[in-house]
Amino acid sequence: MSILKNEICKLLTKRTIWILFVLTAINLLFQLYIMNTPNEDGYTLKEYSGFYREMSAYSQDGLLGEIEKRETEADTYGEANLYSRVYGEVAACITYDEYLSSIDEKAEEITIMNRYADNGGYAVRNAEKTREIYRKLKGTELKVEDPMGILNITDNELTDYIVIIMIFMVAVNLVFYEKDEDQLSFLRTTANGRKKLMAAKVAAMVLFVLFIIMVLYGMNAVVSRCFYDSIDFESPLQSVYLYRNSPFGLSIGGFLPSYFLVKFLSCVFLGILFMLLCAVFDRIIFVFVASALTVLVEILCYTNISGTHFLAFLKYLNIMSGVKTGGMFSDYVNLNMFGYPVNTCFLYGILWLIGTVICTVSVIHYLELPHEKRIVSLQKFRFPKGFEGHTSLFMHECYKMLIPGRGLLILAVSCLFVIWWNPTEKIRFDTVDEVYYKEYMERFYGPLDSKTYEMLEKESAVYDQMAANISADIEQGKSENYISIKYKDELDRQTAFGMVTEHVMYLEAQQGGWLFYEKGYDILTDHKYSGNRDVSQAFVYVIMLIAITHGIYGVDYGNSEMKILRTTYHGRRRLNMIKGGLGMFSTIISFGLVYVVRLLNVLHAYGLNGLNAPAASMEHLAQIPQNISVLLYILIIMLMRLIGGLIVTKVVFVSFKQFRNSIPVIILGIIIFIIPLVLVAFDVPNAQYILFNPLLLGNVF
Amino acid sequence: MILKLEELTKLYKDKVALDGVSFSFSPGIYGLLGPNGAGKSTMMNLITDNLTPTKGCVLLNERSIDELGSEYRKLLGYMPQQQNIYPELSLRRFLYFMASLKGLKKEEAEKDINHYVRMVRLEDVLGKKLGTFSGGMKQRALIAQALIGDPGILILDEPTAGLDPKERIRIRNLISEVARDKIVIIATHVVTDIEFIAKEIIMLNNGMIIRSGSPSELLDELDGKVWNVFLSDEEIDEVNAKYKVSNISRDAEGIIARIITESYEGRWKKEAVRPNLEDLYLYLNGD
Repeated sequence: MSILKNEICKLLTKRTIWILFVLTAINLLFQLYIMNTPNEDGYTLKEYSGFYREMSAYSQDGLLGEIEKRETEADTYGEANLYSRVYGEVAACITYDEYLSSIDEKAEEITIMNRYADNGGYAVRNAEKTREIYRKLKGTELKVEDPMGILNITDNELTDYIVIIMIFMVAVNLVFYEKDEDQLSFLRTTANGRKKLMAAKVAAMVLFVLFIIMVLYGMNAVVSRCFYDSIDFESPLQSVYLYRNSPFGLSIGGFLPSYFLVKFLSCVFLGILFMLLCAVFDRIIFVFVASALTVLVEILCYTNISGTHFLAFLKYLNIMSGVKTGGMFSDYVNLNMFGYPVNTCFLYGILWLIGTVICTVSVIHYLELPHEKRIVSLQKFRFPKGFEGHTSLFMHECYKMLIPGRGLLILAVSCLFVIWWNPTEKIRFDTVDEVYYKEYMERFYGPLDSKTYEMLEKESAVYDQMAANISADIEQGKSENYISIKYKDELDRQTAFGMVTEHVMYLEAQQGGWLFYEKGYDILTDHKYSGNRDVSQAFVYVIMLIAITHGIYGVDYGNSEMKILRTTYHGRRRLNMIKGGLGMFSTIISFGLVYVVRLLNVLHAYGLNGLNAPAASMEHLAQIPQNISVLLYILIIMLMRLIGGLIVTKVVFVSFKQFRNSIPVIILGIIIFIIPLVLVAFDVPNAQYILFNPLLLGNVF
Repeated sequence: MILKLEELTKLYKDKVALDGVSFSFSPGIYGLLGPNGAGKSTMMNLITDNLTPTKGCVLLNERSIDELGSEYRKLLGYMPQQQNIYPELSLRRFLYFMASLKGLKKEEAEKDINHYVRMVRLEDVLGKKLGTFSGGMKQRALIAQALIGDPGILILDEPTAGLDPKERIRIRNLISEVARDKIVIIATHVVTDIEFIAKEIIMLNNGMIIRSGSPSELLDELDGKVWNVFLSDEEIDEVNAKYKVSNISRDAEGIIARIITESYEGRWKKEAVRPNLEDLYLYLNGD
C-alpha cells in the first residue's frame, strides 16, 4: 500500500498537475465554444437543445406537424437544417414500434430467402438472433426530449481523446521517466522493487484512469446540467436518437453506470498497453510513435472499415471502440464465427480480458528481466575505418541522424507505410451519370466562350428532340416502363447534361472560368471530399517529422552531449546550420512521402486536364481569385504544408534547446500540433484555423 | 596567454552561484576545490562559455571571450563530468567527430587521434561503441577528445571520478605531461589528484574564492595547527565534539586522531604533524 501511495505522490508533480489542468481546461473551453458556435449545418448545439425544449410544450400528436410547419417557414439555412434534423429524430422516436416491426419483417424475409439456399446457415441464425434480441424491446415507449444532456456526456469525442492523451502522459510518468533516468535498475535491487513495484504502478494507473474519467466526464455532466435540459433517468435509452438502434432494454439511469464501467475498463486496458510500450522501448520517441500509431491505426480501423467488410472484426475488436464506448451501446452487430453469429460486445469483452491480462502480466514482470540499456551492436559488423575516420561534420551528422537517431529505421517504416497507404489510385464513378458527366466535361473542355455555348445549345437541342419523342410516345399510349427502357441511356445522359448546365450557370455567375472534369482536383483540394484524408495525412506528417527531427537534435541531448559540443570551434553556428539543413531535408522527404506520392497518384488516375484553368472554376473554390490557376492553387496548398512541416522541425529544435530533454519536447509537440489536429478530426467548428492547422491541412480555403 | 575572470557573477533566480569572482590564469595546472554547491561547475560552465554570466566577464589576453567567439573555442579542450555520451558511436567515430568539430583536417585528426588513444591506452578498442566501455575507459576517451587539436586551455571536470588508483595515477601523470604551455583547470573533490601536480589551488565556497595559492603557500597557513592525539576508545566522542578531526586510525595502544585546531589545550598526548591539502580543505570547509 505504501508503494502505491509513493507512486501516486511521484505522479503528482507540479508539471503533471499543470498538464492535467491545461488539458482539462481545453476540454471545458472547447465544449463551451462548440456549444455556441454554428456547425456546418448552420445552427448551434444550444439552439438544437433549445428547440427541443420549445417542442416539449406540444403533445406527441401535434409535434411533427408543428416542426414541419416551422421547417417550411424557416428563414435561414441553419434553421431549415435544424428543424429537418429534429423532425427526423422525433419521427424516429414516435415510430419506434414500426422500427421494431421492420426488424421482425426483415428477419422473416431473410429466413425465407435463405431457408433452402443456406439451410439454416449464418444469415438465418443471425436474423433469428437479432429478432429475438429486439423482440424484448417491444412495447417500449420512447419519450421525445432534449438529448444534448446525455450526448454531451457520452458522445463527446474530444473528451475521449483528451483522456487518451492524459493516460499516455501518466504511463510515461509512471514507467518511462524512471527508466530513462536509470532509476528502475536501481529500484529493482530492493526487496519490493520488482513485481510489487510494477504492480503498484499498474494500480496507480488504474486509480488515475478512474480519477481522469471522473474529472473529465464529471465536468461534462456539470456542463450538461448547466446548459441543457435535465436528463430524465427513467426514459428508455432508445429515446436518445443516437441510441435508437440499441438492443439493450435499459433506462438512461441504468445505461450510464454500464457505459462508464466499459469506458473505465477500456481505458485501463489502454493505459496498461501504454505502460507496456514504455517498458519495451528505450527511447521516448519510439514510445510516442508506437503509441500514436496504435491509436491512429485503431481509429482508422474503427472509423473507415465498413461493418460488412471482411475485416469488420478489426472495427469492433478494437480498443478505441471500447474507449469511445458509445458505439457498443448504440448498435447491435454480430460477427460470423464459424457460421454462428457472435455479438461484438461479447468478443470485445474477450479481447479486453486477454489483452489486459497479457499486458498486466508483462508489465508486472518487466523488472524481473535483466535490466540494462541495450546498445544496438552487430557483433561481427564493423564499419570500414575510412567510413568512420573522416572529418566531414556533415557526414558525421548524417550518420548520427540515421543510426543513433534512428532516422533510417523511421524512414524505412514510413516508406512501407506510405506504400500500404497509397495503393494505385483508379478513376471511380459512383453512378452512370458521373461517367456521362466526365464525357461531357471532356467534350466541352476549355474556357467558357461562344464555342462552348454553341456546343451546349446543340446538345440541348438533342434533349429537346428527345423530350418531343417521349411526348409523342406518351400520346401513342406507350407505358412508362417502355419509355424508361427505350430512353434509359439518353435520360442518364440528360441528367449528366443537367449537371453540366448547372455548372455553366455557376461559371457565368463567376464571370468566366473553364469547363473540365474536376473530380481529381476535388479529391486534392476539397476538404469535403478528402477531409479525413487531410487530417490523417497531417497526423502522419507531424508524427514522422517529430520522430525524424528528434533523431537530428535529440541525439545530442540524450546525455548532455551538447555541453561538450558547444565548447568546440564548429560546435555552434556551423553545427546548427548543418542540423538545420538536415531538418529541412528531412521535412522535404516527409513531405514527399506523405503529400507528393498522393498528389502524383491522384493526378495519374484522373489526368491533368484543366491544370491551367482558374481554380475558381471549381464550385468549392468560388472565393479564389480568377488569376489563380488550379496548378498554382495546388502548389500554394503544397507550399503551405511544406512550411507547416518546417515549422514543426523548427519548434522541435527550439524546444530541445530550451528543455534539453526529449520528454518535454514530445509533450509540447502533442500540445501544439497533435491536439489541434484532433480537434479538426472531431469537427470542432473552425478548428482548422487553430495554431498551425491551416498550414498542416492546406485545404482550409 | 592569460585567462582572466573579472567580477564573475552568476545568479539563478535569487540564488547566488558565483559571487564576483576575479582570478587570473597563466599556463600551468590549477586545481579547483570546493564542496558540493560551492560554484565549481558554474565557474567551469562560465569559462567554457556554456553559461552567460549575470555580471562580469571572462577575458583571454584582455579580450572578452564573447568577442572572440569561435576563436576562443578553438583554444578550448573540455572534458565534462557526464560520462555516458554518445553510447552508440564507436570510439573512432566519436574522436573523428570531435576533431571535425574542432576544425581539424583529416591528416591532423588522424595524427592526433592515434597519438592520444595510445597515450590513454585505448588503441585496441577504437572500433567499439562507447556504450560498451567501462567507467575508466569512458573517462580516458573523454580525456583523449579534450586533448585533440592540442588546445591551449584544458578544462577537466572530475577527470578521475570512478577510476581505480592505478588509472588515477596514470591520468594524473598524463595531465602533468600534456600541461606544458597550457592553462589546465581541474575541478575535483579528490584532493590528492591535484596536491602534487597543481601550480595553484583555488578553494571555492558559497560562490566565492576563499583561498588561492600554491599548495605550499596554502599549507603554510596550517603550520602548527595539525596534531595527532592518542586516545582510548571512550575518549573519541569528546575529541570529535571539540575538534575538526581529519582522520582516525587505530594501533596496538589505542586510537590516533588527526585533529586541526588553532590552539591545542587538550589533556591527551599529542604529536605535531605536517599538514596536507585534505587538512586544509577540512579546515576551510568543515563545520
